[in-house]
Amino acid sequence: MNLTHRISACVFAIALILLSASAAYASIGAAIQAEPVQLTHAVAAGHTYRLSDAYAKNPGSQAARFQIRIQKLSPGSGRDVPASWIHPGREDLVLAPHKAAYVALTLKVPAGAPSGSYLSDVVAVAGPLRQIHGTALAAAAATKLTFDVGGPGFAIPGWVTRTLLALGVVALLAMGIKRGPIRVRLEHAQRR
Amino acid sequence: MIRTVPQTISLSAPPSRTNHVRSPSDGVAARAVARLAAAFAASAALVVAAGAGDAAGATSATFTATVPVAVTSITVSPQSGTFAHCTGGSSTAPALGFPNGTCTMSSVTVSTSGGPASVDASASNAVAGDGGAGWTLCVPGGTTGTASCANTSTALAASGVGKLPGANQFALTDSVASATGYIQSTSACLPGLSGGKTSCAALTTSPVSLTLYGPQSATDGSSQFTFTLTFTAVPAS
Repeated sequence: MNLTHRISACVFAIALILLSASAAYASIGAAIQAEPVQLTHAVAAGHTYRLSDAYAKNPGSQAARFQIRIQKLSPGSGRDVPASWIHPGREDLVLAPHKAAYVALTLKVPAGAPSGSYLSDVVAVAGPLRQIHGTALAAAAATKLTFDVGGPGFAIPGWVTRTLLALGVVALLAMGIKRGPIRVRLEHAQRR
Repeated sequence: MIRTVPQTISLSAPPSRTNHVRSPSDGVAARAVARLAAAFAASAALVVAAGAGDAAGATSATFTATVPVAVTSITVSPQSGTFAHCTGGSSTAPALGFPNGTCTMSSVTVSTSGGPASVDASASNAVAGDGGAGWTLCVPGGTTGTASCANTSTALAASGVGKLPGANQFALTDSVASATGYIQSTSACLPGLSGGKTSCAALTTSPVSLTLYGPQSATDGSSQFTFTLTFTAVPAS
């Protein structure tokens, strides 16, 4: 074996060692927005709503296949959100290390859905890109999903509620100024 | 003669993944818009100054902002592993034996960041390498969604360790901070973090030791079985 072949063999061996070392310390990771996915106004049964997009990120050192799932993990009271009510814009996506993506979420409340507060979690699950022989370790991160379903016949849009509330506050303030203990006295100084 | 050239400076923020917000009225989107607006205002003076210096007629400037999003994050290292150090039954060190051999994997590290978060764990059933009959995950006594381990040996049942996995069943335990518990099919708090039925302590980083309890017997003769173990970060409320 000449010198060139020996050097090539050494380089190949070192590359193999580095590859196996990097595989041993490779990590899989998942991250999702800390801010809960929530609707600030009540929704109505039989209607469809656009939720805020879910932000998912890959904090691991390897590319991973991400799926968005709905699953109740957080403690707290509230009805479970059936997974069939939430429709992610993408079934799964592949994220390179330290890359992120937004996934659109649509809430379809079926007719006849019980009214009340609902609590569940939006979960970003990161799994390996390829099938692994042995034990595959997966990582997932959850953030809360909350909304209220109004009673039967409820269909007032949120902006109407907010506008009515604002008008009510203005009316109360006006009445307070007129009748309350605080009186404003206006005097006109006459010019001579 | 000095001539004043009126300048119109327009600022445009092209949509990008870092600042694209679809629903400004809700949650994260509203905060992101607020942050974007603040960053926009802070940078506007610089952009205007740059535009004013360009008397050649430049009438637009591109503004790009990166809006950091607070996240709950978890990493698991390594991303795959093999159970080894097998004992019991007909086990050899690298291979699980029958009945009810046990193998361990002790080099898994779980870390969370971005805010206090507890960690749940769950495991899938094991799939035979040749596509034959797999093994079902079980726990002694069974739980909702997880089968009950069904070893028919009375000697084992009398030993006080609870029933071990029966035919085509396997069980998994994890140890965190010297506390050990069974992993279920449905996501549940890691035993070392559990403070009862309703509380699960936060975890920053911790080594997790795993032990696999093999079946009493197996129908399929495959030499390799595969399953997925998932660790989930759940933000502390």
